[in-house]
Amino acid sequence: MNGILPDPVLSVRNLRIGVGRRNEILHDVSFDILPGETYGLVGESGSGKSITGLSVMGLLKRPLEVIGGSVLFRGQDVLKLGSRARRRLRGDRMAMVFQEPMTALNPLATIGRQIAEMFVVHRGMGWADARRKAVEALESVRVPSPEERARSYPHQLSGGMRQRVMIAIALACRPDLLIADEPTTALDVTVQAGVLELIAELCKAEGTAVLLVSHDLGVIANMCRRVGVMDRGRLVEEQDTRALFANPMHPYTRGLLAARPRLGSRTLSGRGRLTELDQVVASEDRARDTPTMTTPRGFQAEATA
Amino acid sequence: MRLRFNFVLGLALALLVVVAAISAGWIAPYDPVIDADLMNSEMPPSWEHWLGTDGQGRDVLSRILYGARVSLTVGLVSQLINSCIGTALGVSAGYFGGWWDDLVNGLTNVMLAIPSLVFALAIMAVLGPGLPSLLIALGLTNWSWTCRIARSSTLSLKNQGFVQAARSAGFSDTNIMRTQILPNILGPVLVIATLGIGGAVLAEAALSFLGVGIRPPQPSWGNMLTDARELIRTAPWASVFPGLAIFITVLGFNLLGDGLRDMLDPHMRTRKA
Amino acid sequence: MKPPLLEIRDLNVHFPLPRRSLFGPKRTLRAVQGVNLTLNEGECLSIVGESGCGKSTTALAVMGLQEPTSGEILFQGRPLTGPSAPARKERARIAQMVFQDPYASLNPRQTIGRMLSSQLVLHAIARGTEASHRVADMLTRVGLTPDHADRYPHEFSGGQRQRIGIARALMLDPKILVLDEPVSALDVSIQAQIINLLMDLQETLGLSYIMISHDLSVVEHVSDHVAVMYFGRVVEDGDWHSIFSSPTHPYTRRLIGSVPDPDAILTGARALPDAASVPGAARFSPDISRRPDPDEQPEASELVPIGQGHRVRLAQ
Repeated sequence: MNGILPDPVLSVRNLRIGVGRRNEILHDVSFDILPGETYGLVGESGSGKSITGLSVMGLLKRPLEVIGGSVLFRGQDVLKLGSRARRRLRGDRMAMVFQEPMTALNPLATIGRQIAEMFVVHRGMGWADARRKAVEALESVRVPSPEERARSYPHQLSGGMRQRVMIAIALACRPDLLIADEPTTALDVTVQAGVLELIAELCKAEGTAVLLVSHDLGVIANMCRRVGVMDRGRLVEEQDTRALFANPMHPYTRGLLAARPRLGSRTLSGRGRLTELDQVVASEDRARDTPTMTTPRGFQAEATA
Repeated sequence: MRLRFNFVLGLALALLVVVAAISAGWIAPYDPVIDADLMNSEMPPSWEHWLGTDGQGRDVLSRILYGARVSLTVGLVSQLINSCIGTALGVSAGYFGGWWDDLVNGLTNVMLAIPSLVFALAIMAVLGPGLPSLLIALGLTNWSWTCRIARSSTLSLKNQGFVQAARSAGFSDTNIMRTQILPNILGPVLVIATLGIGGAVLAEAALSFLGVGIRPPQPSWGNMLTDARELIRTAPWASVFPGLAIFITVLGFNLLGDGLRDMLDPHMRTRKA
Repeated sequence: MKPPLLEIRDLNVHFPLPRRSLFGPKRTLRAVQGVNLTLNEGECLSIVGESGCGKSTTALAVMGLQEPTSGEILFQGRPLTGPSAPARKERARIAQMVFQDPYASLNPRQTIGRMLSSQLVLHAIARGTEASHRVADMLTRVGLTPDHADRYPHEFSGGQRQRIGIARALMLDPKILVLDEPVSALDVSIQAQIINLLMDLQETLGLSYIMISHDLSVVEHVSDHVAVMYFGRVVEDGDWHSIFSSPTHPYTRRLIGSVPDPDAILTGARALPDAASVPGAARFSPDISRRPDPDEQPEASELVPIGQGHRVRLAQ
């Protein structure tokens, strides 16, 4: 299979994370992301999707720690790198966008300065050049009147604009991998659409691979070619997105899909009850040594339809 | 409930001081005032006088034990007055807002702008020295931090769901402040209060040191220091031990405050199995 | 004719804004502008829109937690605002609220039982063992167990907390429940349970709901009537079917169009249903291609009927 596919940008192998050394909360998670691919991780709170993203970035906070497995980034195990080498990688070769842009931005520095900093730190540019690049970056994320906006502070922008700024910072050094952790959860739906479109478009243009972490199946469906479903610290299913929606294999995935009211699904005959997750999959059946259900890459929905 | 180390240490130190103050009458080997023996003044620590004697030949240990009564009374009572004033003003200002909030805020800022020791000195000058005026002077001058903390915590709690729910359920404003807001700000207020006890003990010592607090010959840690300041070279024990007593008391209450804050966090509380 | 259960008439809520400069003109934020809404008995009225559109302020005004600048709110024809408004305690038996954030909406220092029974004591409904019986009944009704009464909020999960929030709102047997984003802070699988619980309770207790939400798929599933708000004004309202089968105001269309739809990946891009036809050459108001300034006097406009109980805001 590897003969026809390019080497993955990111290859997470049997990753295990624990609270301290003993209490394991992420069990044997493995997945690959190909260059330029958008890979989705979907799950509920506490499923381990966010700490997976954080551990790839090397941003796990104590008492959480990696207790096993490897994270191969362009063939190199980043877990074995020293903290300096990892820091150089962060922001340069891999970057992250968080859920809440207000807390991720420095409230006391202008937007322009915060973007320019990326060029100064990672590209060794002078401040004047970096500032010019920062304005270009703002223009590329479609912030109106970028010259002016570069001089504003985070609190002067709306939530959607702040998230665009975060994306500009993350993509400033053209990373190979962007980790987006619930990038639109704090935004209004009408704003969400624009931000998602922007991420998709910019990453496609630059060939950036994306690890999109979200609880929203709709967001994942619109953005990702392949998706991994996480539940209670395990990757329980991984499929092509179309195949996943057409033919979910794991009972948990089936429950997750059924529990969601779909727009346009209500009929005039009256409102019915929604299917609850535990009607589909009993709690004691979840994630207890569940094997990961996978289909080979490129498996299409038509094959099963 | 898990006991924290700093809480245990603080509690032990504070208890030590409390026990000393209560039992001073029984355990003190000498009378702190009458048993002056000028023949035996400035004696270094010995089996007869564990902590030595001061310039007038009085037993330092006995005077420290009796002095603990003054220090603790001043610390606890004045801080209680401070906490009550600060909490009442802060919670009501935060909850009601408007002109009342402006007024309380203004008052707090005025209080913060005047050094509280200077303010207390002025009150003492009007009321005259003695324990009751000391309690009033220190009880009226140190509530501004409590007030600020109470007000800002109330402001952030006021718009939370459970306060709005209580309003929707028909509870009166006083009831809401008592049952919904007060229990949730008690932690920080208590921490400030225990730190304040230490502060009040220091302030008492300072005022007595300056001669406007507890009148000699009644012992207080502050006036013991005053008396001993000229003997610092010849009889250092007369000033070192009262100083140590102040240090232990203040440290004890500060640690107690820190420990309490950790333990009052509701996430530490668990259901009885 | 019997008056509707709840009627909001020409509701306005304005907030003062800081002046732009020391001698600049006074500015006001028109959070809610001339909102008219009707809630019929046993129905669910949903107010949708993005954050800051005035939907939450409207809900708070219904609850009496926000004083309206002008306009009135009538419960069965009796005013809930103004000089003849009922006292806080009386009002509590009319409407109760379920809050969005299940973590901030429960007092961390009160046991569940105490929180629930104190309402009964306050309103002299029950006390002592009778009160604990009622609390146990209510906990069972919302899908918890009676022994949960002795616990503190932090011992519960988000979904359980939301059940407790619902129990609290139902303790006084109110006629109306205001649901402020009742499921948006919950996990997808928990959302279904809470929505089902709310629908069951509505049927068994004959409740009427005002639901504030930005989640259109939930709104479509639960509501009878839907009002779409944009910058303080209702721009379109009607029964759920006309809103979702013929969304007409450009803002409503944009709102529905931006919902990420998992089905789109299987069936291709979802086509938005056709808009209803609008009389003459009328122009929609406000113009959504530019952000309205909530500080400005809004343009003259009115809600024009375009179908059975379906209205849309057009410029005059």
